[in-house]
Amino acid sequence: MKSEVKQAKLCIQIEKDLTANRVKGLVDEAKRMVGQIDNYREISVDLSRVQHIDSTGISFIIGLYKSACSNSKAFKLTGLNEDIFGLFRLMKLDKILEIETA
Amino acid sequence: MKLHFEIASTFEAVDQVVQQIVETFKKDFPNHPPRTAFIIDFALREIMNNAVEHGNRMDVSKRVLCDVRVEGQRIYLAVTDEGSGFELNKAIPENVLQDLTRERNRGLQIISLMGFTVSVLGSSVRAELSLETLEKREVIVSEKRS
Repeated sequence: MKSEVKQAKLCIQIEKDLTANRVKGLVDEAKRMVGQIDNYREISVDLSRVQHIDSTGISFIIGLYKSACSNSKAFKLTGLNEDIFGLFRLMKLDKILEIETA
Repeated sequence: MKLHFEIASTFEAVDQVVQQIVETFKKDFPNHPPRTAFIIDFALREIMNNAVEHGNRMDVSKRVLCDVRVEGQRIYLAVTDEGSGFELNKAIPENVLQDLTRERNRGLQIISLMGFTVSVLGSSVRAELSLETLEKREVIVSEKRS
């Protein structure tokens, strides 16, 4: 997972699939990333490299969204492929999350 | 297609076996759209991760059995763990399901929404899906979108 602050946006790039075997390691890293810096107004999470996701991965995204809300930051998901976007629609998460598809 | 696997209770083992099953499905049934493989991948991960985490409580000495069968236009998944089992209709309270931002308890609900018929018998979870119905529905949804 890579991150950088660009034009008041904390851009987080997820580099691998968001599945249970990988998410555990990402949670602490994400918390540290979001907590350590404050010079941004929005968290933007790029999922363009994610091909597979499971409910643990979805929970990870929701955790980031909640973190953004509790720190009064905007939150956006970008680069979702058609399958993952379909999954978010199925769960009605497109109604609460700002999503840009690939 | 008829596959049987027995794995240790780890998420890494789930990841490996799911990749293997989905690759076999794609090779044996190349005419199904990629979305079908994505849905099978998701469902298998959910059921097997549940077996590892809730059924076997991450005890690596306990095993998870997985059977996948495709017959005609139907796919059957069966996952068995060494736990004490659960009752499907008591697994997740209704008020939890209404919370869109909940951080747990989504897997089985999503699988049902995808079109799987899910049943539980003791510590064995079975999920069955009509591939034909799924793919017809996908065509209708994409036609509506475009």
